[in-house]
Amino acid sequence: MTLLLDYELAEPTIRKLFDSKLRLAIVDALAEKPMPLSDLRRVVGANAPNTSSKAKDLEEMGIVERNRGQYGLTPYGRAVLHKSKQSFEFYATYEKFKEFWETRHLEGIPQELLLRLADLKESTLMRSSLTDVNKPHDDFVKMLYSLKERFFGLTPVYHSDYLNALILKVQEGLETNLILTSDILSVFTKLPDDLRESLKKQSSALNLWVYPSNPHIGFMIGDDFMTLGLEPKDKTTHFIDMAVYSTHPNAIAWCLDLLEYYKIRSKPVNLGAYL
Amino acid sequence: MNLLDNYELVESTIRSLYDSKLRLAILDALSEQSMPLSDLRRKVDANAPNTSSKAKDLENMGLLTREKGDYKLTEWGQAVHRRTEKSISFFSTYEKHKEFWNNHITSGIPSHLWDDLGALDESLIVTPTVENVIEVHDSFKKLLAMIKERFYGVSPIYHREWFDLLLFIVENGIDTKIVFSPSILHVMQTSPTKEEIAALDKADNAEFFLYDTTSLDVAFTVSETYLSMGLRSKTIRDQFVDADLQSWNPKAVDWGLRLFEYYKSKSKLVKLTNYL
Repeated sequence: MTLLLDYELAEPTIRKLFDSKLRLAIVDALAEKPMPLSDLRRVVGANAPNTSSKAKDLEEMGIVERNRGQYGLTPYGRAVLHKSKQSFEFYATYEKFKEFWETRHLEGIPQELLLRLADLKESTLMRSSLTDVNKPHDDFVKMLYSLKERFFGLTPVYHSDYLNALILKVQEGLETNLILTSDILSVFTKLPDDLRESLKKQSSALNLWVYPSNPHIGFMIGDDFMTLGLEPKDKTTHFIDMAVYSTHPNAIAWCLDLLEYYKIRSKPVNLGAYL
Repeated sequence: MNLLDNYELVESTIRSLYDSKLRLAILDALSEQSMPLSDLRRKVDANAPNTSSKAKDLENMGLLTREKGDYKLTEWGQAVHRRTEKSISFFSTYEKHKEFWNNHITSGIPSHLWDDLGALDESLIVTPTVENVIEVHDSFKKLLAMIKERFYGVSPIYHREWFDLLLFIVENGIDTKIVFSPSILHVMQTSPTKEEIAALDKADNAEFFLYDTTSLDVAFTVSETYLSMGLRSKTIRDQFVDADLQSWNPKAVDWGLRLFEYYKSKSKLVKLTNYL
């Protein structure tokens, strides 16, 4: 329980810092360059007495220092700014997509990646509309056909439309890294003969793994985007009714790490022999 | 991204987390294991109504759930606990040694290591005492004598005793890498003998580097078990040994190694003999 002992020490700083928007604004303003009070108060939009009193608090906290009339951040102050930014981005990413996180199972995301949730901050939440319930499905198929370079991911859901698209794209040279569940793999053995044959023909080009249990998660990385779906807590809601989508490099890198996490926990499948 | 944009979104979460010690205590207690209210309130040392009311707040924040009478952190709650722990240890490490940071030039520590200040949470500051005015120096000598595997460091100060220990350590085959400032190499022209310097250069287990800028504001040693770090005093000229931060925690040792890598990457490999 060292957390609470440390909290005793950290509490005054944390409270002072996070309780006052003006103090945070001062720290943020000084990130760029040191400045005199007259400039500082203009940037933060406050009067001189308020600004200088809050700046004085920050000076006592070791965050701000005064040098020949100029206020500036100390090295610790820079770290405080950076840490606060990271913290805020972490919590803000949760708040932004709160409906998604709160209605889904999160255990499919390993803790290390959950701690890096801020990597997904530049994302949009895609959802199906009541007037067109098939939209996520149609969009997904359309997206599969549009891929040119890569199709990586883990999918616990299956539809023959996906398979047809995949076979065609692999023929065209699309690089794949796919993790499936054993349920989907067994679907493959029951495919109509012609579909099974064409799948078999592409088996050496398909890099497949099988994840041994229910991952509660589905995600994919296409040429220049990532998308993440999570199993809904409410069984009447569909897996792909809501998904986080992003083209930001941090989000794509996050998703590639997620892929690695699942790859090492999955078994490679030799589809040719299996079929 | 602007810090304050996000502040609007997160303000209530952050306030709820840090405004109540009891909420944090519950979060901390449940991070280890799930438990019923009766155990929880004993662990956090509060009465049942208070505990259950604060637990309810955490439930509303999506941090905990109740399952068959047991309170349990959600996946998000676990992540928030770890995030909070990191934040708190960052701030508390600064507070613990506030005087040390305030009285010294701290710009010698690069920003990525400032961000990870929490790695030094289990450390102590050795200062001169009334009983022993050279406490820092003595304790430093003891530390050097303990080294068995690794002696990495940045040294902007010279002391004959230190140099003898360096010779001894290198002679014993210990992996040694030292970054010097130009002024130290200058001092070495006069103090050690040519034979001593040549022996250091010849050793396969030792490498020396020159940090070629005017001022080095840190002095530290990282062994296989500890980190010992002094910073340049703001008030006393060329003083590094008025206080020494020491830690035996592996996290701190790792932090020290990264600090060493940072200085090594800004220095060039040299033969000491060339500076005689």
